[in-house]
Order: sequence, then C-alpha cells, then structure tokens
Amino acid sequence: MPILDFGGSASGLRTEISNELASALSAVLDASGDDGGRYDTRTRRSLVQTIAARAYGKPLLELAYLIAAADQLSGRHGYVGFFWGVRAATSGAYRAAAFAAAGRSAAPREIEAGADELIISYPGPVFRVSYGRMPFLAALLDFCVTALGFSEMDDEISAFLSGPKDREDMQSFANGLSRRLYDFLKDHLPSQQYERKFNAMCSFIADRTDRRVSADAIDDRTVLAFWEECCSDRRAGSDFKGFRTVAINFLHLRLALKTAADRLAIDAAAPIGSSRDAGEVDPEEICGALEVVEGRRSVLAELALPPADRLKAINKRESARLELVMEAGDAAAVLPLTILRAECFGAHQARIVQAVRKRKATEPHGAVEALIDQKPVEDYGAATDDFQELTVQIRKVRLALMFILFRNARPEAFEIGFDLFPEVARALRNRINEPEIDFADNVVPLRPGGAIGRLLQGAVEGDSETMPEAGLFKASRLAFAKVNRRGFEEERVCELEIMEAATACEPLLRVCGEELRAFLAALERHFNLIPAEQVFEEDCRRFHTALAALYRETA
Amino acid sequence: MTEPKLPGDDDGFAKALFVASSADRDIRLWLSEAAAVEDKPVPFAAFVQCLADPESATGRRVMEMAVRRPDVRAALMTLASRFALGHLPAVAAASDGALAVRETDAFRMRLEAAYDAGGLAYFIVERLDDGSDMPRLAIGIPEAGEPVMRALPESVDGGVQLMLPSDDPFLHLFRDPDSRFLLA
Amino acid sequence: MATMPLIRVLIATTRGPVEVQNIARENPAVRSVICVGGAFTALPVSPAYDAFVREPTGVVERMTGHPVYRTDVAAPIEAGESWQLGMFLAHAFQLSGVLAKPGDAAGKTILVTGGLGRDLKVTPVTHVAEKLARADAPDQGEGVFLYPHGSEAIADTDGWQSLPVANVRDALKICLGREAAERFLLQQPPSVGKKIASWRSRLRAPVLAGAFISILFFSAFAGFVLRLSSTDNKTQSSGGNAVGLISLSIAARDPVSGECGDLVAIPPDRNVFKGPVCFGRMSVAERGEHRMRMTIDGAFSSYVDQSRYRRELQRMTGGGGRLVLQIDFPYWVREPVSLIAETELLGMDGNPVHSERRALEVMPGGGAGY
Repeated sequence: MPILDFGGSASGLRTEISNELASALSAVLDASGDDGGRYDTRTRRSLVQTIAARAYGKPLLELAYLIAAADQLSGRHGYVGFFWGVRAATSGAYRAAAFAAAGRSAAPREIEAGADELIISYPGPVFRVSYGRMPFLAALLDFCVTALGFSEMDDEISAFLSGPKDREDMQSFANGLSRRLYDFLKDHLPSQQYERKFNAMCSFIADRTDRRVSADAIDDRTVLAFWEECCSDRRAGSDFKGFRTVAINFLHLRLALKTAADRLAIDAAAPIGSSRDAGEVDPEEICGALEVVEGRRSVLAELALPPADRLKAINKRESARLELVMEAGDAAAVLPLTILRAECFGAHQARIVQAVRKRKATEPHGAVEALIDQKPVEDYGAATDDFQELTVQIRKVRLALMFILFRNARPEAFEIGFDLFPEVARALRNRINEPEIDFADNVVPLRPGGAIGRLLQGAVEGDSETMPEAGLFKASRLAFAKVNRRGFEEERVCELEIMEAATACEPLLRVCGEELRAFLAALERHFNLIPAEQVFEEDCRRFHTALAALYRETA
Repeated sequence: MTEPKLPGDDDGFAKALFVASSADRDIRLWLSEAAAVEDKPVPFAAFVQCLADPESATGRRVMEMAVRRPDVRAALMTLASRFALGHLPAVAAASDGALAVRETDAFRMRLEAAYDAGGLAYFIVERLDDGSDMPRLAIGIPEAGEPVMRALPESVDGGVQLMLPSDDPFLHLFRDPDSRFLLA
Repeated sequence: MATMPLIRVLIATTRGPVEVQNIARENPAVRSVICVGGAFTALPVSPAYDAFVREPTGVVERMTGHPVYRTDVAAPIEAGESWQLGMFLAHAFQLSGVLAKPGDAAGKTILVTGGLGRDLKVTPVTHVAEKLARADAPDQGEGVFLYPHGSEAIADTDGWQSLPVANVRDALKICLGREAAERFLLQQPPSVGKKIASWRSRLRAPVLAGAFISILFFSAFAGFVLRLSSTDNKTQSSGGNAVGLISLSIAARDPVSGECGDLVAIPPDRNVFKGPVCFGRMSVAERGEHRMRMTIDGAFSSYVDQSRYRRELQRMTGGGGRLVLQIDFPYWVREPVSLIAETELLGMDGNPVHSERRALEVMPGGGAGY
C-alpha cells in the first residue's frame, strides 16, 4: 500500500509513531506459525486497535490471570511454554494445551479447563478466560515482551508469580504493566498532534457554521475551504499541507463525531454531566467503536493476507485506487467530491512535492512553478471512468470466483450468483429450498446433495439456454477466462488452497463493490446537478491558488 | 494556532475516537511499508520456537541470524539462559591440555574422536539423572568473544550426538577450559 | 567369497531407491549413525539404526561383533522399519567383502524393503508395490526386488525380478547363492547362525511370548479404553451439554466421494465426532416460542464470512410440531471445530424462561494432530 501523504514532513502522517513502536508491532504481527501467520487477521487487527486506543487496561487484568494460570499449568517452561508453546496462536491450540495440561495428575486444582474457557478459582471471585480470547492476550503479551524487553518483563512476571494470587494482586500487576505500557506509548505514540488536528478542524467548522460541531456539518465544501485556509495562512503548520491528508482527517473526524452522536442517542440512560463532562472516556469503548469502523477499512489488507492472497483478486493499482473509498466507509457517499479531489489533485500535489524536494537538490529553478501552473494529469471524468472500470473489474473477478466455486461443486457459488444476477435468484432459490424440510426463511440449506447438488450438477453440465444455473456457470466461465492473474489458472481451479482463497476473497470483494457503487452513485447525483468538467475547472482554479500559496513562496 | 473552547469538542469520546482511528491508520500504513524492510526485529515467538526445535525452519532461520546479528544473538542467549537445563562453568585445564569431558550433576558432555581421522569428531550430551528433558541447543561461551551455538537433534533416550568437523569453533571452545557452556 | 561379484544394495522407499554407499566401523564410545553422502549431519533415523546395530536390541553387532557403524547412503531414509532388511544385508555383504560402493561394477543389484525382527524373520511393511514402481531398471547386472513374504504378490517388472523372502536365510540364498549363503552362516557367531538356521524350530517360544505380550497389550488397551471413556465423561460434564429439549443430528460427509450421508442422531452423552461432516441439524419439539441458534466456531472463523456459520430461528411450535434449524459445515476445514446448538424457550414477555445448549466437537481430520 503506497504512502499517499504529500504534506508535512518527509514521513508525513507517520511522524507520531516511533520506529521502535512500529518495529515491535511488526515483529509481533509478522511472527509465523503453522503454514502462515502466528496470529490470525482478527487478532492482529485487535492488537493494533488496542494499542491505538490505549485500551489495554481490562485486557491486562485478563492477562494477569492467564499468566498466573498458565504458569501453574505448564510445568518447567511456565507461562512462556503455554503462550509460545503453540505455533499458531488459535483458540483451538490454546484449548488443546489447556486440556492437556489440566489433565495431568499434577494439575493445580484452582484451574479447570472448561469446554469454552479456563476457569480460575484464586481467592476472590472466580475468573474466566475464554479460549477464543487467548490468541489476543498472547499477542498482547508478545507485544509487551517485544516492546518492553523480555528480561525486564520476565523479572516483573516472576516477582508477580511468586506472590499471592488474589484479586488485588492481579489488579496490581495489571496496573503496573499498564503504567509501563503507558510510559512506553507516551514516548512512542504521542497523541498531541492528533488532538491538535482535531481541535483545528472542529474550530474551523464551528467558526464556519456557528453551531455545535457535528458530523452533518462536514461536507465537501467545508473540507476544501479548510485546506484552502490552511494553505493561505499556514496557520496549521505542517499538519494540513497535503489535501489527501486533510481529506483523510476529515473522514476520521466525521466518523468520530457520528459515532459519538449515535452513542449519545442510544445511551439515553447514561448520566450526562458526570464522567463525560469530566472528559473521562473508557478506552474499551473507543476500542469497540474502532472495531466497528475498522471492519471495512481492513478489507484491502485482508485481501493481501492469507488465505485470500493466494488469488490476486485486486492488484496494486486497484488497491491504491480503492484505498480512500474503503477508508471513508459510509462517508464515501457523503463526501464523494472530497475523495475525487484527493485522487486527482492529491496526485498532482505529490508531483509538486517531489519537484520541491528535487529543487532543493539538483533540479533547475522553475520546475515547481511550471507544475503548479499545470492541471492534474487526470480530470474528474477520467477518474470517474476509472472507478467505473474498477466496478466492472470487481464484478468480473467475482464471476471468476463463482467459477472456481462451481468447479469445486461449492454451493457458495450461488450466493455470488444471487447477488450479481438478482433476476435469476428467485427462481433458483425456490428450487434450492427443499419443500419437504421445515426450514425457516432465512435458512438456505447450502449443502451438496439433494436439490442443491442437482443444481450444481445442472450448472456445470446443463444447457445454458434453458437452465438459469447453467447460464450462471457459463457467465462465470467466460469471466474466468478473461482474468489473467495469479491463482486464476484453469489447472489450479480445484486446488484446495485456491478454493479456500476464493471463499475468503468473495465477501471482501463484495464489500469493495458495494462501497464503490455507493460512492459512484453519489458522484453521479452530484454531477447531474453540475457537470464534472465545470466542477473540475473551478477546482483547478482554487487548487492553483492554494498550491501557489503553499509552494511558490518558497521557490 | 489558538485552541478556543469549542462547541462540540467537549465530547471527549469523539476526540478519543479520532485520535485512536488516526493512530490506527498510521500504524497500519507503517506496518504495510515495513513488510519489505530487511533485518526487522525477530518475533519473540521465533526465539521460543528456536529453543524448542532449532532444527525447524524457524529455528534454523534464527540460528542463522544469530551468527550475523548481535541483537538476535543476545536475545537468544537471554532466553536460553532463562530456560537452561544445564550451566557448565569454566573448568580446570586438563593435564594433557585436551579437555574432552565436562559434567554437572545432570549432564555430561564429551568429545569422541572418529575412527577415521578424516576431520570428524563426535560431540555427545548425556543425561545423568532421572530427568527427562533434553537440551536442543548447546551454547559455548568464551571468556572473551562471541558465543557459539549448535542445535542438537531430538533425543529419544537421554542422549544426543552431533558430528562436527574437527576445525569447528565449537570444539575449540569445548577444549578451552576458560569457556563455559549452556544447555537449553 | 572374495571372487564373488559385487552386490549393490538399494533400500526401496516411496521416494525412490536409496543406495547404501559405505559402511565403516566407528568408535564404540559413540552411537551408530546414517548420513547422506559423507555429510556431517546424522539422519533422524540414526537412533533407530543404533538400536538396530547394537546388542542387546540390535542384530548387526551379533553378526559382525562390532557395536558401532557409520553408514553413508545416497539420499535420506525416512523413519520406519522398512530399511532394516536392506541394511542388514548390506552389513552382511560388507562383512563378506561383496558390497558394491559407488563407482564399482556390480554383478547384482538388490532393491529391498522389509523390517527385521530379532529372530531375523522379515516383517511386513507398507507401500511395497509403490516402492518398486519408483525404481528404474538397474544400470548393470541382475536386478532383484526382495520384499516380505506374506505381502500381496508383486509381479516382475522391467529389470527387476520380484521375490518374497520370509527370513534372512532366504534373502542371503537369493543374493549369494545357496552354497555361499550356508558358508556365510557357518562363519557367524553361534547365536546368529542358530537364529538364522533354526528360527522355525524356535517358533513355539515366540508364540508363547507373543501370547503373553498379547495379554499385556489387551490389558493395556482395556486400560486405555477405560481412561478414554472416563475422559469423555469428564469433558461432557464440563461441557455443559443439556439433555432433553434439543435433538441434535449430523450428516457425515464421505471423505472420498464428498457425498453426504444420512442424518444420524447424536446421543446427549456424546460430544465429540470424528470425521468430516456435511451439515448439522437441531430440532426442538416442546410447545412454545423458541429462539434457536446454531454456530460453528473454530480457527477458520477469522477469515470467513461468519454470518454463514451462525443460524438463528425464532418461532412458535405447538400441536406436535417441530422446529428445525440446520447449518452447513465448512467442508474445507481440517482442524477441529465446535458446533454449538442453543435454544431458549421464551415466556409471554419474550424473555427466556428456560435455555439449553449442546456442544459437539467435530474433528474433520479424524482427530489427527489434535
């Protein structure tokens, strides 16, 4: 994924994160396990979110209990043996480890391996840690060890393990670890720059609208006006030079304000005026909100990770094109012009920044000025066409995935078929639901055999002129033949890992397609009112003024 | 820039979420770029894996990195010391100058010459007590200089044996009474 | 014997034949090793080879009088026992000075598979035909494929005459000829010669010993079974499987054809199923409004659309009707997954008045590696 931040310092947005923090996280997340990563995508995402939201308080208490229990369970190798003794940190692996350890004759009686959780009966209330939670806790401990140092952590843990184990001891250990993480992140992930940005944007909106800042107050005009003001008076220093950076910041701000407003609306019982007025925010709640918004943002990353990456469903250029749309989520339909501006003028600004850097080195004087006077290489019409082509491409790849699933006699092929060809969906659905079985409406018995088995067979072997399922297969076969990418090879279609990849890719691509369609629909509505060429010409004028103010002065 | 009290920014939740989501994005960007960086830190899990099975793919990779990267070597040494099954200290020099046996209560390490003197020696580790854990890593630590590590094969009956070329630095360390050894 | 043609020994493996290149006596203070082509790394099979060589477990020392060897082979030999007969014959030929080394012109090449007991009886091995199929015809001399007597008969192939052997004596006769084999056996220490010459007459002792071992084995097996069943009981109680309201059944998937089998009811006291599954079905028959849920959870959950593996149904039943919910299994997953079936009987106010839950651990891979 390219770095597309063109304002500020050379490292752009990443000035807040130290190399030490990033290296530690990278080491943890890149650890390999059995046939892939040690931690699955969800665990990796949760760890990053927990660090970003500093929401490690409660998890560290869980970790304290689990370390104590693991150390008792695992014999000579102690907690290290339990946490790192499994290659792939999965709930199943920890469950098996817990069962194996708890089954030994010397197993401690305070710890019971239940079906779904470890039940820890130290003095005080019984504490339970589910096996599903353990991979995340293992990743968190992994991060602590990597960031804070194994020797130091191990000394602290050894001291903790040698003492009593009641609730206060657990909390005390968790608090100590929490303080150490806080101190580490204070230096390596300072939040002042983000807070400064938040305040600057809110202040601008408040001045402009003269009312309480809300998500609704953020529109395409506001974003552009904010950036223009930053360019003209440079009041924001290096925080807001790049238009793309500004666009992303506003997307995040909009989402934050909207989520906060939703929370207030839903949580009517919360006593407004108590902790919220005091500015106290539960990091767990922040982490939960982040988890919700991250679901869509992480789609592109998940496409690039196993098992989906065995099929090149999206190439690098397409991924870069989709990045902002996916980052925006629902806001793509609200701020379509901002995204389009970031795509066209963001790239234009990047070239100017490059020229500024070169000018400082060897380039002849005047190259920057010439670029400022030029228009972007890609105008709105071309960019919109490119987005349209991307929707066509995504549809084609999904059809190709449908072919892979058909060839493997997988009923999931019909799920793609239903989505892409709604006109045949009803007829097929009626035939899939076996009338003799009392199923609820929402239960589609997608299993080989029975009616669905006949449909799958009919799809591959039937007449596409008379059988809709065979028509679906024919369409998928034609699309597959046109997808000339890694993994989409006829001879590999029935390989297990290709089929797994197809199953994993499909929901991710579906989301990409949905976001893109919503974005394009919003753009269309906009350009129906004012033609794209007209908006582009006007924007060229405004961007020229702003870019000249930014870069010409220093020429 | 001034920061007046703003309508809207009194909701700490929105600000905290903005900070978190911005940080989250920045971290993700950094990580996606860092994927191509060489000499990244070695995951702790890899060290544990190396200690548990130095002949595994991960174990071999860590051992190879430990040869050329001091940070990896130091980290592996730390972990090996923590879980060492045996510490074999420096010993008195052998009368003939060729030290061939080192021993603790639990382990004996010895060197044996091959019949065919074609540049081969056997390094043998035997468990002497009733314990069942066998080391997977032998580390020779000189009085001055860098440690030398050798992966040990898995043992089925309380003994492991390694064949080493007679000019292997590990053998030199073994014969040097001032060096000490770790079995982990 | 010195004038006899050299014999090349190939150990038959499923990855192709592996030549025994050299056998050298080694310092008795070390252990026997098998290495590939003179390298310094001992193959993982070496500890088993040491036990095969050294008395009292081994048979080679009994024949040669020396306890430790270093043997070089052309390619890795996997663990197992099928190398034993070939390795024993290689030692015998080395002792007789007829083992062909790389570069030697061999008058005969033997391709061998078979285990070897302490009584020098050849023991059965698997993949016999496959191992022969992996071998090209020998470059020079006669080619003989030796395999355990009692295995399915193997036809001769291009360059290989296939011969079953029941014991070392048979094998030596085939390789050296009757006369030379008898001469070789006469030169052996009495214990070896006797073993080879009269193993049939000693059959009674092994049979008795075998009977005793069988009793031990069955006792141990019974103990194992009892232990397993007690573990099952323990798991079940901690798993909290409810009995009564929920009927759970599954349709197994044929691992070869992928076909779905008939529905089989899972008794309430069973919470593990080994083997692939097509789909699971729960039903409740008690009159009232139920909220039913089926979930399949496992490591795979992190990379699939999870909604597909979670089914819910809330509906009334009455008058002898049944509510049925069905869920498909992720057919490609080989790791264990959990099938959870839950139901809540709802009161007039919509709140649950009674709930039950059943859990079934499904091991699609049959439990291997779990």
